[in-house]
Amino acid sequence: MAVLMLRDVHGQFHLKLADFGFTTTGTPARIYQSLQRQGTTPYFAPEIVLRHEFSASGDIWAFGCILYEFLYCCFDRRQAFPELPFLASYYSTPNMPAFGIGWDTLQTDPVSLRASIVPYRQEIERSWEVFNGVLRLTFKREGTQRRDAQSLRERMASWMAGNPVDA
Amino acid sequence: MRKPNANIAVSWGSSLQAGRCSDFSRRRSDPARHVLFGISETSLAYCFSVPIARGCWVLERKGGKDDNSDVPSTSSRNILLFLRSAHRLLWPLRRCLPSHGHISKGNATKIPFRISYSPFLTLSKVYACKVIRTANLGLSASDIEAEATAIRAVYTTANPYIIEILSDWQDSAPGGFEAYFFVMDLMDSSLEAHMQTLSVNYNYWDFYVKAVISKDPDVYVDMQEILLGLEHLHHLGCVHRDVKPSNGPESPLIG
Repeated sequence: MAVLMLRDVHGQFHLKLADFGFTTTGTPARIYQSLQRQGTTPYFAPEIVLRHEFSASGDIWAFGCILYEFLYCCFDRRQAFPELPFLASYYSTPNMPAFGIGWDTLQTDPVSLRASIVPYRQEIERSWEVFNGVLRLTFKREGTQRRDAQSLRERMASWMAGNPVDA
Repeated sequence: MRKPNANIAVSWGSSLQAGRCSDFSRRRSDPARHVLFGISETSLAYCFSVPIARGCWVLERKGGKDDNSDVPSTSSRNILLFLRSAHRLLWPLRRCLPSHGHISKGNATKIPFRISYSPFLTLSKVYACKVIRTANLGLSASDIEAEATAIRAVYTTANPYIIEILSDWQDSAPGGFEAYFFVMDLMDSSLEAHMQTLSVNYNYWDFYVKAVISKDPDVYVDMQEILLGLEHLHHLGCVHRDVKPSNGPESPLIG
């Protein structure tokens, strides 16, 4: 139970981090080597899988996994990011919807047409671009290449405000 | 935002079963208005509060009748008898009694108990209690201590995006049961349950459209909140190491 939801007085849900059973202290840049691979396997960053190195960037990877699941409603990150072949044998392949929602596909889909998404084309493509940019920043193979949480959040906010996505 | 725990006394299931009701008197100097009954032998326990002499929560052991390995003492036996009689009385009405939702279970742990129903829901408040049982983890004492230090460091700093702890203590019992206890608010839901609800209620395209085009994009807000929590955590120098939506929710507590 790592990310839990709490309903506030207005009925809105808020997310809170929880379950600090595996938390360690130190500096964020420090890399912990642990013989035990604790945590939840599908959310492991590659350096955890390969070298058992835990660092703050591993949390960022797991955050990217959560965002990915939200966007694509599936768990298989290979379909969206084929440049991650190094985990191919590691992650399982459940039955997943096909990746690749383009505007053309969306337009011909009857459900989408019913929802009359056409006026929102700009916003849809914009949000899609932003979220995929965040995912590109997140799913780096090396932990040192990933952004930290603050810069990721600030970039996401500025992209959402309309600045060009430069990931 | 650490709440004073003066009105919370704690009793947890193992002490009830083992015949120790010691935690009733754990903070005897404090006038306890709520007693937290926990049920735990694993790393996650349910705690449920009982306004003293006013209401009760009824618990049911999942293991079944034949698990009678625990011999409670007189005082705890009285409590158990009371709970069981209330259980028997209210069992036919269990479908009519209010539910308080789900709680997720921890990583690689099993919960042998469940709260079957709550006859006095409005009188009491449900808490969640995280029990880190040191013997189960197979870690060295220094590792355990480091983790407990990290947990305390995280919890003692107020942040709206990190769950707050109401009470924590370390306890040990004869028999080698040593554990850290962290009582926190029982959250309404988990992110994974939310995602599952979304994916059930909307099909793929609907969900996509709804999530992306809504004027107040839920996904964006959620992700910002997670990032804010992580940012605070990393600023403290802590690494969470277990970020995930949730484990699967425990089976419904009622019905």
